Amino acid sequence: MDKITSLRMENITKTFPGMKALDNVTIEVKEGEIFALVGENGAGKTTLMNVLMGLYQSDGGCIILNGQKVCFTSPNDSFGCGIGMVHQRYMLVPNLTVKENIALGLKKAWKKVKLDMDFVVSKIEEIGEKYDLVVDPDAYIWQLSVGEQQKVELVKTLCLGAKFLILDEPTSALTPQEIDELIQLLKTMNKKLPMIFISHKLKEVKELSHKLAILRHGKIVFCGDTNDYSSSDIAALMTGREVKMPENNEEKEFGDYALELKNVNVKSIRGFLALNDLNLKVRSGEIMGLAGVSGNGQLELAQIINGLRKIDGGEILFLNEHIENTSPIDIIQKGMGYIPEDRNTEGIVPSFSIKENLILKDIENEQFSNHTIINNKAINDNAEKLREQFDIRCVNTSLSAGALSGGNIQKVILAREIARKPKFLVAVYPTRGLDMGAAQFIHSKLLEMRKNGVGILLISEELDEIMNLSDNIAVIFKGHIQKVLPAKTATRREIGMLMAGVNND
Amino acid sequence: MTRQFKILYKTSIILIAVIATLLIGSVILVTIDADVFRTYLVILTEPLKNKIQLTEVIIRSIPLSVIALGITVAYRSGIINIGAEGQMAIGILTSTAAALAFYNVPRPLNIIIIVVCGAIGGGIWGFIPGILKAKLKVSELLSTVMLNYIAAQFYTFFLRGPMIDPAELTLGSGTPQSMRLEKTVWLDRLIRGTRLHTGIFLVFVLAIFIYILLWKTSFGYKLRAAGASEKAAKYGGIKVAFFVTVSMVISGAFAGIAGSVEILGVHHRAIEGITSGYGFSGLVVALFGGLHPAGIIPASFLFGLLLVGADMTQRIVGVPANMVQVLEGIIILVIVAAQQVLNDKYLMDKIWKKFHAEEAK
Ligand SMILES: Nc1ncnc2c1ncn2[C@@H]1O[C@H](COP(=O)(O)OP(=O)(O)OP(=O)(O)O)[C@@H](O)[C@H]1O
Ligand SMILES: [Mg+2]
Repeated sequence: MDKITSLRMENITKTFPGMKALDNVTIEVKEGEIFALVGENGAGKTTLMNVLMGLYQSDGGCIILNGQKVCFTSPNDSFGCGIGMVHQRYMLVPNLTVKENIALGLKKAWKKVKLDMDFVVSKIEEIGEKYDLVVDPDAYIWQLSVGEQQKVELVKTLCLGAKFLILDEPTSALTPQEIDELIQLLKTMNKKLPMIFISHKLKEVKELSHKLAILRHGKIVFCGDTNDYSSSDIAALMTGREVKMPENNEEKEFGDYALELKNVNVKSIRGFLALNDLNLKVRSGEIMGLAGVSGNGQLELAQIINGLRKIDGGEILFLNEHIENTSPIDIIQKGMGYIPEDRNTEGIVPSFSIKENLILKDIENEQFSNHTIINNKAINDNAEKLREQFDIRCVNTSLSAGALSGGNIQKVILAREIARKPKFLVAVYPTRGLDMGAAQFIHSKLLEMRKNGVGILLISEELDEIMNLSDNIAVIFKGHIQKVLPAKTATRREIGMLMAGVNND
Repeated sequence: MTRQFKILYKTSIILIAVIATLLIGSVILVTIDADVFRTYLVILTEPLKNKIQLTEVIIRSIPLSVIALGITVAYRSGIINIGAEGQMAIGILTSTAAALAFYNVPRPLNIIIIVVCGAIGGGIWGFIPGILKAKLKVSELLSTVMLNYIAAQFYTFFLRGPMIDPAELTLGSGTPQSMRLEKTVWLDRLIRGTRLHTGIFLVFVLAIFIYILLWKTSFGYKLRAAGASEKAAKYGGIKVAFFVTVSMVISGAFAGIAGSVEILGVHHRAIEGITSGYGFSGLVVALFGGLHPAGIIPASFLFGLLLVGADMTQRIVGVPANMVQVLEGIIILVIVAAQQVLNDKYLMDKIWKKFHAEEAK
């Protein structure tokens, strides 16, 4: 097959135990098109793509490729027909170089006793030229930023012969600059190959896609040309109501300093300073947004505040007590809440049930265990309450948390951290992967916490989120706080300059 | 997918696994020129035919299940303890020493002291790899195996040297064994004319204890969380290093208890060869029993049956008992493979589709 001129999924139905994840879904993608798939968390987007990739077998319906009915029973079948998917979690080996990673999947390069690296490199160059997609074949994966890794994933998929691309939330881990780059890249690539694009960010959908379909509870509720609808139309169609992001515009007095970092230094594994003489103070009832290009020390900062990493110099005070180099449990018990960056393996124990995950930090709490004997009823009640309050979409709370959709895993973490009523919250990318309705809900929760006097350190790559919610914005660059600006008067331009390391003072 | 299909699917996989084991085993039996059918028949049915053999099966399953319960605790916290053999040996030494040292103590107290000393000995032997793993990330696969060798040497050294029965020296036969324990500390026999002892009750007590510990207490919750996802557990304020160490101490202590029960109930003295493969078989029992007390008890019975059956094949059909160890090895391989298949949801999905499509036709 030379080209994919049309791909149609017809009447696809897929049930999981206790629920219909896809119900009679039909979509069609034509040559030269970018087809956007949007919908709430747990609507079935990833499941539909997994059916297309042959990872799941649908219970009914069929796939028609260039007018011919095909049957995919494994990812090899769909690869064979030229369909390639870039998964949300990259499948790259960090200790190998780019070309070695690509060679792993490239069967043609497997000679009897060695890999034909020249062939791999020429293939990478060929793809680079064809799609304007340049990567350094000799770089190690661990040396690359998330955005560059994304590119490597694209190159890998294309080297394996993809003529049709599926991108499942490709932008959710990227910085704004990287997103812009990726969108431009996808636009040029689209001239040669059709794509399906999944995202929760309507701005991207508007900019990139020609057609769009909205999934809700496993059904297509809308399908049309993107250009005919505005972002707010789409948002309304998606959630069934108007979505307005809340803003922080309520004047209030802040309390005392809740969190103070003084001259903090942290060495990274590779020797340089991940945090370099960092100073930051956050008061109770204040939302401090932390803006910065990812990889400038944000994650290290979150880890040291929560005792998950040692510092090499300086002081950290939480409610006037020293917490540097104490244990995570001490800090949790002092009232610290933490929404970590890595939701799949750090924020939850994937093999534990949803209800068990909801009490991960509170198992010793009298409410849930009496003299070490677990109180199952209290755990169930707690889970039911939070499930309703945070709209966690699941068949029941005894299922393992790892089987939830990406956005619903995030909701489990948020529910746990917010319901614990912390005195301070470190929130890292709190709405990454959430649909608009859920993001709106979380934003209003954070503002409610602020109102109740909780200090919040909000680490995010979305400037909109930071500017909407923060009282003050701290900009981090190379592990150092460049400047703290009042959110009211800060401009995007000024923040952008500071993020790039330009400081006029 | 219907419930019936799922149950049918899982049972057929287990059946296929059993048949695969038997088939691979027969290939080996054929190569040593044995009568395949009779060998299996003897292994699986001969021990059940009379009271004495049946009780022997149960006697073997007692240490197996106690060790497997301990291994389960370690496994659930993320450690594969292959050092139960050595932990049991040290437990036998310490409990024998305690039994010989405290002979003037009232019977129940004395028994408790002996068992506790066995637990302490095994616990210390488990603590070493536990703390090494927790603090220095030393692979438990290395440390537990090495400690097995050290324990075996200690065992021989003590039984030939400091702890040897003085009578053996004066009589001159020099068999490496300790003095016989006082009759007052022997465990009661349950059925006259057999060796079945009251240690069996301890198995049930410990099984219930482990079930409650792992699934009904906050301690168990944290221990399992530490094993299931170290990163998430640390994030949740769980002291992973502590649970790794403690679970290895518990695991070792259980192996030590198995050792003390074995000398109090069966041998009444420390002799060479008591541990004979119990440590490794215990690991297989734990895995075969699904790392759950409710599965471990029947699994230990099955392996007890294999052990007794193996002795009998040697006598009846002339197949060496070592063959059973070969069978055990095969069983481990098949279990691991079968578990992979059972966990593969895609495969299940595919097969369901196949059957479903055929039904629809
Ligand atoms: N392997 C599975 N077993 C059981 N249920 C599953 C499985 N995979 C997905 N589901 C359920 O199917 C539904 C659809 O999930 P899916 O991952 O397709 O959602 P999504 O639209 O990609 O959501 P998100 O935007 O949060 O990624 C969810 O309710 C999810 O819990
Ligand atoms: Mg998804």
